[in-house]
Amino acid sequence: MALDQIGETSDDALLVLYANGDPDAASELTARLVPRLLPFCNRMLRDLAEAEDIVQEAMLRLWKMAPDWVPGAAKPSTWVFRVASNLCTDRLRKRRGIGLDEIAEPVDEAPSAEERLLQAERLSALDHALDQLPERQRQAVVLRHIEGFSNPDIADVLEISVEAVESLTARGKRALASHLAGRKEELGL
Amino acid sequence: MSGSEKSSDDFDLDALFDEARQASPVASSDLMQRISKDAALVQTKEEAVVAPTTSWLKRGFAALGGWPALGGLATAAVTGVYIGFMQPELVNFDANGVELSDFDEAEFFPGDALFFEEG
Repeated sequence: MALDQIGETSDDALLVLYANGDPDAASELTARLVPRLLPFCNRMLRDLAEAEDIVQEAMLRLWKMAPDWVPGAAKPSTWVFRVASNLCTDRLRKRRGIGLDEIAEPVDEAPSAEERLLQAERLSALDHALDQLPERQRQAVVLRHIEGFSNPDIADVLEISVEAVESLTARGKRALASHLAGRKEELGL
Repeated sequence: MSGSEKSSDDFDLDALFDEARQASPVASSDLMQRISKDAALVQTKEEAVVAPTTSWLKRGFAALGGWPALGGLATAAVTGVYIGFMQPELVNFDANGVELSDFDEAEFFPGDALFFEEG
């Protein structure tokens, strides 16, 4: 398929093209899905190397499943997020028992200015507050408010109803606000 | 997409979410290459499965009907062997396929032969 056409092709159709041997379909799907998948996994695990491993594994499962893909049955994006979400959950379960203090803080590349320091502090506080949420609540909040997924898509990823997603995100957001409330002044919120 | 709903609290969480989104890590070229390599590898394997090379023996076996046909053949062979080893007197059927019992005929009218005799 011509490269200018491939950009307009749906994820669904790209996966079918990939299964039929199209050499460009995989590159396009990778370019569409990975930039969204990586931040989600990184926010779940707070470890970039581990997040990259999970993303690679989730994408590998997508490639393997491509020949059996039923067009229209699901979205490749929600399918791969569901796989990644489950893989993240497995990793977190394995980590259970490790204290929060032992989990690496996000590395700040070059905090030169005061505002940059403050921003890093705010994001770190957000990550910490997210860590306090129950796992499903955290996944729903991140997918909804950071990754920008719609509620039906989150329902598809987490395999729950749209109402349950609404409840999870609302409760999650309230809990986040409550966790961050004490640091409002300090973080410049 | 991302909600524009405001937090019920006195500060705006959405601004913090936006900040987090902008600070998200970018996928490295190394990761993209690893994923592309996996994709190419899986694609090659799938194509190999689509056009398999089978031996003449396997093709012949398939032409005969495969395992289901072999099942029928095995049943017929076992039945043949069983019949072959059976003692002949145990397989005692008449011309109409009715099994003949091993008993003596009772003679209810010992003189009945007389009725058929002329004269």
